[in-house]
Amino acid sequence: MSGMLESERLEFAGVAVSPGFAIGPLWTPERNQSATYLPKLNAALEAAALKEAVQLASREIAELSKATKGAAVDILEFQIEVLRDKTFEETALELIWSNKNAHEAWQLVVGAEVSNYQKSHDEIFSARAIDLQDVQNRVARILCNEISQFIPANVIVLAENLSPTAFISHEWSGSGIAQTGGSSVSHLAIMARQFGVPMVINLDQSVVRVESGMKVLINAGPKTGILIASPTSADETAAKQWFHQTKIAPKTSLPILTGNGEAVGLMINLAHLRELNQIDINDYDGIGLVRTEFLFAGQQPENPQENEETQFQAYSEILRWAKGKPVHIRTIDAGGDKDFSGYRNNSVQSKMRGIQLSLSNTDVFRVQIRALLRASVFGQLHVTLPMVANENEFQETIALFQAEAQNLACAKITHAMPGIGIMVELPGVAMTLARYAKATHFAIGTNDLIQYALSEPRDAMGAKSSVDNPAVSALITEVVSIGRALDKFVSVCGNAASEAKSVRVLLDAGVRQLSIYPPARSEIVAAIQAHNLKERL
Amino acid sequence: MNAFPVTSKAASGVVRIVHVAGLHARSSVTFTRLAKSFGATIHIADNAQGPWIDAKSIVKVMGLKAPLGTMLSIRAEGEDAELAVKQLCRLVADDFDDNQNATGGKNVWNA
Repeated sequence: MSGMLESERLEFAGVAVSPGFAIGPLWTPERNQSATYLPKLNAALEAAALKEAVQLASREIAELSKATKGAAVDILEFQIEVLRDKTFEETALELIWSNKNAHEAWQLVVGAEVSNYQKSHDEIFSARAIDLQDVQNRVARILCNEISQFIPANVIVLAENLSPTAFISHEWSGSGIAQTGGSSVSHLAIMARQFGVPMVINLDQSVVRVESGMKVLINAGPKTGILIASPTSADETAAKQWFHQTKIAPKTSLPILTGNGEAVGLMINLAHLRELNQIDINDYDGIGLVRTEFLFAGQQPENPQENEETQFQAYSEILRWAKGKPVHIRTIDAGGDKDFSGYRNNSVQSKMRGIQLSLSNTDVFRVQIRALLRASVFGQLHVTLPMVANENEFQETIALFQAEAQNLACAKITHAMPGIGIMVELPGVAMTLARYAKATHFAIGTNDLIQYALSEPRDAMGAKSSVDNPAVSALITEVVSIGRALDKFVSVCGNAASEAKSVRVLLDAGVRQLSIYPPARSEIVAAIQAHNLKERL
Repeated sequence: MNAFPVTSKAASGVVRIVHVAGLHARSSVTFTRLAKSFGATIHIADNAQGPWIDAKSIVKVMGLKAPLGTMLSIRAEGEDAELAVKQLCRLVADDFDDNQNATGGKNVWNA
């Protein structure tokens, strides 16, 4: 094959891993022209040469790290740690004492580990082979006294796998990456996305026949990745048009910012597990309220262990679904208008609600506490206590959590203590919040707060008044300012958080965390983005 | 995650890896750096039978290729063994998040 005609338009299919498009001359790094290592006089000198090369490599990477940011820093830190670790060096030194030279020894030892990673069936671990190879090549290059290759400006780089440090060393504006190999979970792909460098991987092997210097276009679209050699003007227009469209799309991805750029946490209220299927956690900052009443509805099994297991499974599933984002689970809020068979045993209890009822029925409550403690290891769990009216209820509940944690520890059952906070639903609690300094968070329940502040009947339609009532907004402002002074996470999870007009009042009161009813998302995001806050001191 | 001190100078614990990517590059950096901050000798294994590997070597820790869901055994010997196991368990359970406490933090209970 003797090159291609310069005018011949050719398409090569690949996979887009970082969106965008780039046009420029193709550039391929030169193959390692058999690097020559000059052997030293004896093993002692070989050993010294290796140690020196490892140290120099470490310094080079540290230099590179100073000039970059984000994921690139993490990746370089990893390489530095690998070089600090004496495992490779010690094994290589053993080979040197048995007559290998420093270069051979290093390549054998690290090369073996690299191929070990390449064989891994786990894509994330096999992608790490490239990081180790990068470290391996740097030390080998230093041993051979070679300088690193320099990528020219404004080119489309074509390689099987570009090394992470070659990426970090280069100024990418206007250029892009085309690879015949690669993985969407490679460090290179992660950095390309972070730095906005268009990147297409797994291109058809025949792309290597495109000559260096030939004009190419790479288009990394939402579904496809492609490299076009000698693109037509129509190709360029199409790529630009697509790019423009994606640029002007409304930005509703996280973080959600107010008109003047303040981030507002957007979480969801959850009342049942089946709702998880309809929601993408990437659209939210966490779960602000899980109502656990669904686990107590209907006939309850007699066996408490069975109950604990059902609850443990449900909480674990929610925490895993949230992928490490904060999850606030409210302990059962029975009583009042929410009746559950088996939860009320006598006439005194029939007047109780929320935490008060749970504390009068500790056999049932302890089961929920154990399930929460056990599930807590699956993510960032915060437990919220409903309808707390005084500090004793909070203290008593903490004591129950501690006692159950002890029991689990004795039984050698894995668990972790979650954060424990309270619902702020009573005006009296809102006014004396500093007494709950040990709570990890305050969740404002606007429905009950309005009802109890203004003596309004609560029915299925919720409260009649809204948070713009001066008494209610004063209470909320108070909660936010005390919460801020105590460095607590303060959120609103009542109906008000899902109403655009109330959200404006809440933002003015200083609220920065909203837990909403998911179908209201677009309306609430729009209200947040349109809101230009008054300047705060 | 429970740590069961054997004597005052030895401790061990088991913790489940909850990080989606398992004990990969960044999490191994965080893990070995914390391990190196203790005087105790620390070993980890992906099952209670071993083999036990040096928790302070990133090459060996990542070489374990422990994916999500692995029950990671940690054991330590030395003056600060108990603290080491406690903090390493907590790091793994907290998903290797070095910026915990932003929303109140989480305390890990040890026996």
